Amino acid sequence: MIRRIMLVVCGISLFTVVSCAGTGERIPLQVQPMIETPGTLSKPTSALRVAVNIFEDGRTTKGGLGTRTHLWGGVSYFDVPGGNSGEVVAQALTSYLKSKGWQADVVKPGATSSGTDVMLSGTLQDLAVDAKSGVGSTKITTTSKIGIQARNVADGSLVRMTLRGSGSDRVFWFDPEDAQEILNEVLTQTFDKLIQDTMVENKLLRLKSP
Amino acid sequence: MNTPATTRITLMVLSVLVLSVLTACAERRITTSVEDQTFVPGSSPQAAAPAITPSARAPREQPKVEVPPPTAPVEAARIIEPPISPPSRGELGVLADMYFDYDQFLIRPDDRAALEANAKLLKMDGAHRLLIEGHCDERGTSAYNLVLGERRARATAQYLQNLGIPSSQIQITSYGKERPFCVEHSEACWQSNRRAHFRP
Repeated sequence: MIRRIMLVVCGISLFTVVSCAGTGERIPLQVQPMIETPGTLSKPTSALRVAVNIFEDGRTTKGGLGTRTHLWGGVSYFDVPGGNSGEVVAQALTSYLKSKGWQADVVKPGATSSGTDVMLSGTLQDLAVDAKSGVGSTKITTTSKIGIQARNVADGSLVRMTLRGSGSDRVFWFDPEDAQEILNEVLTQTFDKLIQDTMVENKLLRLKSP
Repeated sequence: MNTPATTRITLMVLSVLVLSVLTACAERRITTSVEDQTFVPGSSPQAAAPAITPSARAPREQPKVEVPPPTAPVEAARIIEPPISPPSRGELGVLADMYFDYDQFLIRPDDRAALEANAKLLKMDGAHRLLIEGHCDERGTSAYNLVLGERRARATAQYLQNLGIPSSQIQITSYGKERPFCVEHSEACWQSNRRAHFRP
């Protein structure tokens, strides 16, 4: 009986070591809003045309999202496809705004977009996902901090805000989709804040009253 | 054959496994917040007026970054200076900002492509005059940063002139550290404030 238990324990340990050993691989995470998130955010009354500039990456360590630290040593690296986090987050915000009824498009710096009501730009001050494996679980943490500036083309007024989000989760069996899911959930909820705290008046974006 | 000792060991192993699973499934926390909401009125009277006057919104629309420091009358005169030309619709609304290293006013090599794209847009729309605003991070005195911001704006203007934009089309001003894009006390935030901003 003891031999059987030892065998099972050895088997589990070996599997854990094999599956958790870091390979230094890059793990791409798809950044996209979770559009099905519950909530009754209303559409703007008039169709607002928003041009979203690719976000500036203002992080001290540009590129990449973070690391997965394996149980028995070694790390893998989370990244976004293409490696341009600013572009990926701008795309995600655009998809999110579209899902809320806004007419949004991503524009590259220096590109033109005629008929735009609001020029939206932003700076990634923080965007990170980390996963640390321990015995029996992996803790995933994600943080985001995005400075947003919306310029109303009609009158030149500006709406600025800093959206901050953080999330953590603990899973028994780590899958990159877990990290992807929590990152997207955090981003979606921060985007919710942008919509919740602003309103559209005559195709101008304004802050809501406190 | 099961002895009391083997049964105990089996139970212990199983307990550890169950505990691990339960621990792992315990939590998911997400928090979000909004900070530093500011509204900067535009220059068009028709649209800007309702944004400034409603008393209900007044507390939120008086960002401290817009208030000049009371102790520096010379700076105040410059800070409250409105944009020389109102922002226009269309292409020139998307000119990319230039960013600078700490205490520097040299155009970075990685910003040159964006500046050249800006120059191309300006050439296409030669009738427009452009105001270049120089901005700085919060470190250093207001007076020092006003000068540094001016040098940043001037360096950007000079680069555009070298690319064929007539000097008559460009004006410069400096807001020093008084109109930050971001008000956090972090390097990332300071970096986003060290910039030359284009106001068509």
